[in-house]
Amino acid sequence: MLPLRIQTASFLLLTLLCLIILPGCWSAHEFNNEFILLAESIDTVGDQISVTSQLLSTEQSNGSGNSKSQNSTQAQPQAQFFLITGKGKSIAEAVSDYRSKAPRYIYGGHLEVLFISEDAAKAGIMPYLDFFTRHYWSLDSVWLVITHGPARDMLTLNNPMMKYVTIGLEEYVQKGERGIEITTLSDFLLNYHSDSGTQILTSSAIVYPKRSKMNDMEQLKISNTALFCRDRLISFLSPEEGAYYNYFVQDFRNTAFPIQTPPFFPQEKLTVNLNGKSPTIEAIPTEQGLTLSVKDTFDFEVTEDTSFVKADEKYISALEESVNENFSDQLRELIRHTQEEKSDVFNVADRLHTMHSELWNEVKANWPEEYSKLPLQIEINARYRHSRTMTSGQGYKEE
Amino acid sequence: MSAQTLSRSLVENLAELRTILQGCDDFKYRPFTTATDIEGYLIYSHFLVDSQFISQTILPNLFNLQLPSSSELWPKTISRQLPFLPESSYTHWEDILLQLLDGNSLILLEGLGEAFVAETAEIEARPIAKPETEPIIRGPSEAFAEKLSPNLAIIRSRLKNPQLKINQILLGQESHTTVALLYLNGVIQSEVLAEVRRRLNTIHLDNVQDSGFLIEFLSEDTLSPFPLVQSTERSDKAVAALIEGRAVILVEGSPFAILLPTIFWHYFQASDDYFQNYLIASFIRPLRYLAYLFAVSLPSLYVVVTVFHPQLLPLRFLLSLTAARERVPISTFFEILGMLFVLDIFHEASLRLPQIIGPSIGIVGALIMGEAAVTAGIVSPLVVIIVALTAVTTFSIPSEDLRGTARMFSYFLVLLSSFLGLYGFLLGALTILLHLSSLESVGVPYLSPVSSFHWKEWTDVFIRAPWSNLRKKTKRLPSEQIPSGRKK
Repeated sequence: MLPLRIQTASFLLLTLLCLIILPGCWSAHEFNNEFILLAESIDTVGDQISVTSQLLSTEQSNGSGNSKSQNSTQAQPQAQFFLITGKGKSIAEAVSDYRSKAPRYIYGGHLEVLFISEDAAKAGIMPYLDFFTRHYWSLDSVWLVITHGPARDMLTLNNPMMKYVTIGLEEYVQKGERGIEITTLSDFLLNYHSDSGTQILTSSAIVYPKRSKMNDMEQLKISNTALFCRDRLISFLSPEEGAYYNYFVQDFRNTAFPIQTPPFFPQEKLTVNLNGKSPTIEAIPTEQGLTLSVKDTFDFEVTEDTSFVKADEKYISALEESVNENFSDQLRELIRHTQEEKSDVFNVADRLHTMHSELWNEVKANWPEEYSKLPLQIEINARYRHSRTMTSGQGYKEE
Repeated sequence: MSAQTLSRSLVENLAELRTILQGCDDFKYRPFTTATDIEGYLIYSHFLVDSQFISQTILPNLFNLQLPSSSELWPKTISRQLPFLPESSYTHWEDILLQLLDGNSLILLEGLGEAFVAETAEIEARPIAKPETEPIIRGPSEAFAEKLSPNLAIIRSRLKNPQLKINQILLGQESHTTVALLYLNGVIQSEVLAEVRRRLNTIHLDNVQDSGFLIEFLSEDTLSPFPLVQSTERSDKAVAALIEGRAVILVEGSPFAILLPTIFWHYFQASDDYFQNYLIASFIRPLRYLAYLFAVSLPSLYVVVTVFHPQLLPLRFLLSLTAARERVPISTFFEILGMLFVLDIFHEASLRLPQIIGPSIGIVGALIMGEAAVTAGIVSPLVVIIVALTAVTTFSIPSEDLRGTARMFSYFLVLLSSFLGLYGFLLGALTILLHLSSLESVGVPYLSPVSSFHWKEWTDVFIRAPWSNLRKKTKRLPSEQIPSGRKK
């Protein structure tokens, strides 16, 4: 008896024929016949687009002058990376240009970061992103970073601590000291197609050493400060505003802010660590009409030596009031900036639409203008919390 | 053969026998005369008989045989005076020849149209030894030997139950090999028994030298690479199969018993599972399934990931992989196919070599050749690891039959994966699964009881439940549920 009946065999054969249109051995590439694309930068040069790729190749190290390699029968392959640039009137032309220069197939599946220069971003980034979304490889998780200055410089960053910029960036983000989450291609597209269409992307800049010493190296600085409306860069937030924006939209575990201290504290500035939920921002109907209301309740602790914070209600209240004031000022500054730019980056519109649909219907036609005029009402409730401040129990020492 | 039955004339009978056994120099014709002057002949093959028994017991008794004048009374007198003879006598040449060729001695007398057969067979046989293909750490180490009677004796002694039935038939037009069908009456499903009997009766072979000769006839689907009949040389396994309601077939001259019906999961059950703590057995059994999956799919998944979908790999892993492959001049497909081929060649070579040299070939293959191939830059170190892992996982499958299937399917999946990438791999895996689901062994679905979702019978499939909860009965589908194409 046949293991497959004729019907089954015909079905399988038909399936196989259909599969020919899918990727198969005819579109496969061997590792050693390809370069691995790690990062790409997009700049505008005059009316042309310049795309630079950071490619990786594993070449045989010759081991000359190395006694260990001379003794060894097999030299170890070593990862080497280099840049290749292509130019053209469109992104497709530029990419095609640099691909034609490369002697091997360029594998783009592990493209991790796309740097776009400030100039290119101001003209609109959707034409570039459209190219990447339609790419053969799925590039949804590619990081989008807007650079201050030329994007290509990011790929030539001279920092021995970062083997190459992709992994360096990944390590920097994973370290998470600033709690930064870099926007990915899919994140951007999701917000781009949402109601408000405004968002803040990550920006990067290189901090060059002040003096050229052996030990000095270039540093990559990243922060979420690139303010976008649709696909165009409108402006950059200040680094402080960027930090408060992160606090708004991301989990702010380990988020620390420097604050001005009340006059009776010895330090001029204290750093406070926050713990609690992210603040809420929404447009609510009040007697003065629609108002932007920001509410935030959190605990904080002071990172410096807190022996001067006596367990006295007066001191603690003063500290809490100071934190409240500082936070209110900083948040007001951030929100005012977005209002000036008529950019609803907090997606207030979405919440207004959900909660007060009648009011939304009134304002939706001219929402950016309306948003910029909304009065602001900030309510911060900061509570001092310090586990080491004890008034009784084991370990308590009376002064 | 000119005459079918014996005549009363000794001369005629001798002439007939000499004609039949012409050229068989091992047969001896020993004349004798009884005490009452009746002439006779003792005929036997001197290679097959116990010559001491013949010279010291049979011949003296034949010389002293006192026969009455009436030949009609001879059979009764002979059986009274020669107690070592079986009660029955033979009149047909066909039966007589079978007895002679079995090593028994034939007694012919002048004036008697019957022949007596003395059981004198003494064939040198291998003693009962340890199982070589199914070794275990703890438990009985009693393997079947080539002779049928000791094999049957082992089973009888292990299963002292009058319901254990042993049916013997002769198979092989030329070889006339005895085949024994064993089953536990009342436990085996009558449909299963009838089906096994029917299939045994349809076997028309000239020669049956081993139980392996019958497998094709007992299998539902001879084109399937999956073994639909289980073979074992372990007597305890055969007895366990009988108690589970399966039939056991033993063949004269074969140390392997056939167990029917067989389901896919039987091949993952090792005898050790039942001789050790059920928790440990339940931990090890899923590992065997995992090992089988690895053995089948690891090389093809390597091809899929490295050639078609490197995006599945983390960047750092990809970088080290790329560095390892940089010097390799051949494509991944030929690299992995070549290594699999070399592995199988080594496997085959180590099987055929004497036992002393065999293991060293394995070491030469694994260490020296692998290292040399990597150093020469012919293959990447990762492929050596993948192939070595495939070999190790293959050998952790308890059944040799299934090991062969795993090796075969790993080639099949590598070919498909190299052609179509992940689609090809999934297509191949689906084809194998579809084929597996369509198989049956004597009417029992090959993937039962998993495919039929009889949860309570899963106690010995993926785990080995404690004895108190163990339910092991392979059930045949009702005949109306058997796909018509598979009915025979």
